[in-house]
Amino acid sequence: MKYLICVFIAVGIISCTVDYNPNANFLDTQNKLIVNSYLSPQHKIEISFYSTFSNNNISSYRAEKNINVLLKEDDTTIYNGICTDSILLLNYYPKAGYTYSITASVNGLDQVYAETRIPNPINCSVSYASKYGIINLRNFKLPTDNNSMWITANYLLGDTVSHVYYEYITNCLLVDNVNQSNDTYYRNEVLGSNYCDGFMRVKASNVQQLDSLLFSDMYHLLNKSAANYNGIRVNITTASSDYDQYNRTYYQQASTPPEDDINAMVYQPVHVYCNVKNGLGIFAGLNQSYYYIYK
Amino acid sequence: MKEHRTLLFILLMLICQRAISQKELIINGVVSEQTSGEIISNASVLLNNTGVSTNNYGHYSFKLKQGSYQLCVSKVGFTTSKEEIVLTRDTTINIALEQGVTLSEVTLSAKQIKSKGIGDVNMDMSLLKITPLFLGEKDIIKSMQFLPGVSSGMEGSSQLNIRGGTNDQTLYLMDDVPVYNQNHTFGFLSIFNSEAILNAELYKGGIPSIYGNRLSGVVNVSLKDGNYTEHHQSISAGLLAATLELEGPITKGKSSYMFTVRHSLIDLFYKGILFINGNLDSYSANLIAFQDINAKLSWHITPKTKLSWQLYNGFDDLYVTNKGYSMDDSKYSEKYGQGWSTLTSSIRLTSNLKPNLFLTNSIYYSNLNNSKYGYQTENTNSIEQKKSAQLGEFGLRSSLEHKTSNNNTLLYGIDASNQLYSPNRVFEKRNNESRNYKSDNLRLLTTCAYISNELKFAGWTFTTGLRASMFNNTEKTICTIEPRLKVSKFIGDNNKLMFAYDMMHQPIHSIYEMNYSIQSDFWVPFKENSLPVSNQLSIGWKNYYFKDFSVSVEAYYKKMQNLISIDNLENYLDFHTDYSVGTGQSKGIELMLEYSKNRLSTSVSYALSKSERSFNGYTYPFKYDAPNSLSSFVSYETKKTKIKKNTFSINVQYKTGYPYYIPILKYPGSEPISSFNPQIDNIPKYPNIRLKNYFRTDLNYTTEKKLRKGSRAWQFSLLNATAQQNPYTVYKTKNDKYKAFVLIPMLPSISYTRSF
Repeated sequence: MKYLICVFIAVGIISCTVDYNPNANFLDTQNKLIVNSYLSPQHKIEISFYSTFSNNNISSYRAEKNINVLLKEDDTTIYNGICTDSILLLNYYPKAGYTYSITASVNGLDQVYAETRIPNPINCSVSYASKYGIINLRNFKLPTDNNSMWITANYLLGDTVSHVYYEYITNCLLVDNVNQSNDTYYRNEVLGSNYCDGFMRVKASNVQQLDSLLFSDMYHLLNKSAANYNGIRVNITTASSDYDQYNRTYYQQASTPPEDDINAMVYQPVHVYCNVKNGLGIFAGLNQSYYYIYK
Repeated sequence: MKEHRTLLFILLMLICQRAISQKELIINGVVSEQTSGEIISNASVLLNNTGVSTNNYGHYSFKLKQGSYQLCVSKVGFTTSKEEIVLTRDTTINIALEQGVTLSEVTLSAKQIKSKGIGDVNMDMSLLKITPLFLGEKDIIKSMQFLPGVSSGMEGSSQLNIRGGTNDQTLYLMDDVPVYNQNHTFGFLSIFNSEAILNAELYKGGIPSIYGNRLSGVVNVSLKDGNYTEHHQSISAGLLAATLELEGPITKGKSSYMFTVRHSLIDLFYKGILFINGNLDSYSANLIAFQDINAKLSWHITPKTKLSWQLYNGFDDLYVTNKGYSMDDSKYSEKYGQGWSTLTSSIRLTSNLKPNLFLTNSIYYSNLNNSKYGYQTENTNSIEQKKSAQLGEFGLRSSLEHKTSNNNTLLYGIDASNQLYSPNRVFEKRNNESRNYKSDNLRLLTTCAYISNELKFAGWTFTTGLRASMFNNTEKTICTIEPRLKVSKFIGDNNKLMFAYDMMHQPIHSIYEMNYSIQSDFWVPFKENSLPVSNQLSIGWKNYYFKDFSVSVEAYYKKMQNLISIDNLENYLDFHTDYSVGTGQSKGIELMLEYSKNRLSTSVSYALSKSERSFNGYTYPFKYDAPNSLSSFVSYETKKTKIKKNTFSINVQYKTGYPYYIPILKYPGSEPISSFNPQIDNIPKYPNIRLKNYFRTDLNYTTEKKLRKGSRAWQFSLLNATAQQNPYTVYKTKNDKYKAFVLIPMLPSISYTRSF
């Protein structure tokens, strides 16, 4: 998007942003039940509930309690009852290859339904080259189902997972464009300058072609000191279609707030994916693999 | 006995003479412009009470009995030619018309002939000189956007959304070659350089069977051949770009050339400043560049056969570039950007095989390439990376126009094309090692045969057509039959009733038509089992009672089926999933009033329409649905002498605001993206508001002066003179306030043209 700045300089000088009354009837907007949950074999089932409400024509949301919940694993019921808290926490780990569904309802709001499948994990081998802090992922073992892959990394302080890599430089052209830009003015002779903001995503059809992927934290490449860390954790997330579409569209919406006239000109409304029927939120399966590299 | 034989002989001679005098003779020829020799299409040719229009190649023909006739040839903007002829044998008469006379000189019959019928608009190219400019650029597409039933979509775009259809449902042709992207700088101007255009035609309905593969409309732009008699040059410059045009004879009267080049000014100015300051080795810049080149060579091999070669090459490039020296004194340069390029080329042979038989053959190539790229060099190391989507098409066309009688014209022909799509090419080169990642290549093979017959009888004109097509995408083959019908009838001398029916299929579609994105076009062929199809009925009435005034009303109803709505673009392209099939419906009434007398010309158009889509059982308004749309254009020549002409014009447009999406509800998001923004604005899948009604007034003042050598013209425009705040995008801020971005609060433009 920054490439467009010079296109519109002349027009941007005389264009403007003004207050706008959309004449939308907010009172007619029906409030909805919100379900947020990621299901992965690495974590217990945790589902959060909220509901929307309007106050003086401003929409907001609040935690919702006393939800009737029916949770199934394929055709087997694993929870059926009233959740008195806004978070349902079960001592149960989802399993890869299974489909999970939720039906939830509360007084005054429409009943909602969602389902998702837990994908089988993508695994690989990980090595580390200390010069430039380059991490090399290769020898990918891909399951038969087509899933996208999301890659993030964290620094380790002792045994604690510390701050996440905020910015990535990678050599791999198969990494998605959605959060890429090339105007950081940083180049690396090994990696090039494919900069990714916050995560790296490889879409399902490109995962099949992946043989290796090199990346590093831009912070490290700029020789800013990260001497306190004693290791890195690489997170490979095998994403279900629900997780993938949700996060990709969420990023598209989150990364295009019109901060100024130039961005406002290229703004377009992005509908964030939601698989909760009659409601809002996300109920998505994923499978995470962690790889630890110590100094 | 002898007397009987004499009588018999005389009788025989009389019969023969009678037979000879009854034999029909053919008169034909080409109508062209006197100074340049360029052909004039759609000129009215009258021989006593019989009239025809010249075809797209300026050719006409009649079958008449021996005798004396008055041949009258006319077209708006040209002197009427009248001459007496005596027809004794088949004759070829080529007519040259001189430029520059008003509509009032055109006879009523000529006007009636000129009106090709319902849904067909021939653009008056002379209006481009006085129509308000966008950033100093004359643009034929922007002029078409003011026609009733035609919408630009977003303001500032070069789209033509015709009668409830999207832009990818409009077929764009440049000298009969399909063009797949008509935008420069994301639509601020179109790729059609007005200096290179001879004429332009738009079909909204009553689409001839020679055209197909799009649901909603056809834009056919014909390029100039170049001046056959004299060399001419012109330079023009606006705020955005500069154009150079060269044309002239290679062999006088026989062959000609035409060449135009247009280039953006921003990047040229910037690089010029760097050059002057000696900074070309070290700088950083965000720039935009675009360029287009039109070239054409034409050769009249014989008086009846013409060969022409045409080329168009254009590109747009938005990029960031850095050049300099690293801390260790190593020289580096890098360039990252995105852009697209269009290339078309064709060879066309037109031949008057017989006086009433006209043949056109052509072969063509058309290419569209969208890419995102990065180049990086440092000392001896280099990295080149590119992600691109490409469409290439190679095609053949052959058509025969056979005038079987004055009242009957048969047109038939075949088209064949092979399209190759590479929607996902990924290429990398590091030093000398290159790699092409696997990319799905898609193919579409199209073969069509069409026939059309125009029959005139007792004031009625029946044009029946049939187009049969076969589309093969390597996985499946779909055959289609498309009937076309146009009927018109004159009621008295002054009223014409018209009716048309079109069926159209579309085997390809553009991906970015699905949203409001201003990204460039990206095409894919069909994969579904059924093709999108439209059926359109149109009726119309046109009145010519007053010499200087015409009024026409058209009503239409269009039903579209098997339309595609893509829920997840990636999955649709990679796995052919996550899409819906639905329908569309569009209906409307269009009114057009035109008046022109002496120095004043005006037109008013109004359209009352409704367009909607239905997917998954839900019906919602089409994204560019504007139930009321009014346009008005007035021009007045404030000064007109032999050497100087000044024209003031005003253009007013009003239309209902488009359907739009705004967020109302919000809810919490989940990691990892919630670290960017913790909450999500729920933007619905279907429009939930209408933007405020659109209103814009544009002013233009053009001053033209003939000089000793050539001429010069200044054009001053002010778009949105009333500074109406028309919303371009609407969004919600972090403190829950709504804001609208206004693209053109008020935009002055200036353009200068010097011709030699």
